[in-house]
Amino acid sequence: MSDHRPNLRRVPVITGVGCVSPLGCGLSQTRQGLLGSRDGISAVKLFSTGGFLCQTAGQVADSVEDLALGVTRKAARWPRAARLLLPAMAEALEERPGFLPEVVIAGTTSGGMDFGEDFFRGLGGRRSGKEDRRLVRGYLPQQPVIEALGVWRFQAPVRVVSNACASGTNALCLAAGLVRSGEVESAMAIGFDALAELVFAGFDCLRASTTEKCRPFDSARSGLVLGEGAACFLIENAVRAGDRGLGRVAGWGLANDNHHLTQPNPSGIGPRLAMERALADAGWTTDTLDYINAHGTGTPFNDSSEAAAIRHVAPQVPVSSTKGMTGHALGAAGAIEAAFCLLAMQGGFLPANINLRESDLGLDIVANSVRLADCRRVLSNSFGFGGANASIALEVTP
Amino acid sequence: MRLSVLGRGCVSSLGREWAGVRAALSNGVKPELRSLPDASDPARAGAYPAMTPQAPSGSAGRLRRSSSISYFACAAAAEALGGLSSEATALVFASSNGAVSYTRKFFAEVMDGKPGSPLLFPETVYNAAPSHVAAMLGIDSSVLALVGDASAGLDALATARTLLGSGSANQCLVVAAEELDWIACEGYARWGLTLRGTSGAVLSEGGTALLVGPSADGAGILRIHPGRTVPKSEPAAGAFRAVIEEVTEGVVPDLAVVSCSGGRVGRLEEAVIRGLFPEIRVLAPKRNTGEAFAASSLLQCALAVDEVERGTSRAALVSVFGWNRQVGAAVVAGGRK
Repeated sequence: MSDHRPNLRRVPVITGVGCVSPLGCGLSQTRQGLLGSRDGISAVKLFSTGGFLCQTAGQVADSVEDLALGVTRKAARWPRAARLLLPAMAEALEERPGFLPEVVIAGTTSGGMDFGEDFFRGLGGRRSGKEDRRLVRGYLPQQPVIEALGVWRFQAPVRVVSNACASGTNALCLAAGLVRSGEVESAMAIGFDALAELVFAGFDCLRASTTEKCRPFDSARSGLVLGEGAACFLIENAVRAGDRGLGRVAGWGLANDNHHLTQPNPSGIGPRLAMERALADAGWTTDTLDYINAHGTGTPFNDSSEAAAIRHVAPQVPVSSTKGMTGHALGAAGAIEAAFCLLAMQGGFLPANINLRESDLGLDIVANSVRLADCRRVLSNSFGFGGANASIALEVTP
Repeated sequence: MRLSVLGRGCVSSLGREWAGVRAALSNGVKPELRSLPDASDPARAGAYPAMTPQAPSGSAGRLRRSSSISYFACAAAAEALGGLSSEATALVFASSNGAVSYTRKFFAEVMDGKPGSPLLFPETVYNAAPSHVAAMLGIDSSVLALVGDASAGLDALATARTLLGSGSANQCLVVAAEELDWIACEGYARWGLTLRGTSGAVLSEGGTALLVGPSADGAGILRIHPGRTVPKSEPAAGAFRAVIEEVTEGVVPDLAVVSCSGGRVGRLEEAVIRGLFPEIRVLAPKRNTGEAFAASSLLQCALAVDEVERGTSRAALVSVFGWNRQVGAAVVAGGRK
């Protein structure tokens, strides 16, 4: 008789989570923000938006600076992305004392971009060599992670995934994959990105940003607003995790859509393949799926493509995009939204898709306020430029 | 899992394809140092530009507006794949600076109060180059872009091994590419890492690609060390030595292909390896090609595989000490006889 019990050394379990987003610094504030369906979008404060069409973004509260400096005073000299990441990392590690990552997989699109911008602006001026070194080194995407890990004296290698807006989910998938393959017993997965002027200008010039509210899946949606934040996950095999599990990475699916550098194939083939592969990898059928956290940027192209994919894969499953509340945190988005999914499963609610007035996309959208529901199995989607599509299957620990 | 190298491709300052680069390295050819155009400080913008590759067939549409990093990636990937099918192929890409020339141009436009070109911005994302490779070759499964210092090339190989082990692909194209721009030269010069007098690295560019699959006979990339971050507070030599000792456990390499590109860290790397293996032969290809980060570390691997295949090495060590203090290593060996 064959033994169908899973090999616990190959089951990736989440044993610690930290999250910083426009909904709050830490899981407690984040939970309250989700339950209150809070709109975290406001006028941009970090730089002048004078020349841009879009004027708003989802920004992390100023209190994050105090949290970062509370962990280490050195953070004052780090890029903003590192100062967002540090409190998220500290929160995750607080839940799991003694955790030692064998590898760190980080997702980001722009790392320490603010340092790159400062370096460029100051090229013609007088600046000390020490300051130059600090800016150049800090700009490189892996350096914010290395700085933060140094606080705990971790020496694990840092692998940075920069797959556009799918980066955070890719990082989670890769970290879980390393645990599942048996290559490591413990891994840290991170998604982080800070609001940066260059990136803001980029989405503005593409006319991807909206001048009004971000309305994912709405018939009159007109674009995204950018966001920022960080989330950190500690992932261990089930033997090491013992009874500490907050949730489990059940599977994932990746797919590449070669249609266009910035636009998804209207058929939704990329998202569809990613979701189908995630479900197959998890061994789930859609009748056991409780919720889909959509990528849902609020752009006309993304939402129609993703909706087509969801209608094909799991038309009956409740869907929401949380980006109306947070903005699109790019490389951090997938990790932040995975944290939202864990909170939803723990709290028995489905997060709201705010700013929705009317939708003709044929989905069961969790419109404008949370829906109380037994939520045990979810898919979280992230898609990005270059045709990068990723979907991750998360479930409460049995 | 051991990885078999099924194909190689390379564009560098020494040649437009692998055979040319390999021959130039064997002959000790060194490219001419050139000052990059438009530099704010020409004295800091000396570099080894890559030879211009042939645009691979099928790439024309997507590469029309891309920067040179995508050309390098596509040319190297097409050469590595050769005539093989891209079905069930994953793609892992690695770079350090990405499309740095377009990033600099785009931000300059924004700083000038212009709206910024919608043609430039999408090409600045780190995964633009692999997306062009995937489109050219019709790859629709896992496509991942990694960013890091030179060690990212070995990280990409390790990631390929994970993807192959998961069964999500039968083979994997591992591609690393880099492009030059004066802003990168200026930045690394101010950091103190590039050539000053007789010490320091010369920046370079290009692309290297390895097509890898599970090894049937054990020949190929035997081990890839997971790597390590060396804290600033820790002596680099000790940390590096520990990585080399771990990756070579039970193996005595007769060849080391090191990442030394002319600076202090490279000298340390070579000294540690010679201390552990006094009889070892050492090759440092970056002294000829220049520093192209992950593209260079994949070139180190390609060279090690070639030496083992030619029978001029039984077991070769590849070591990388990156500028962000990320250390990595791999061992290449022949098959079971």
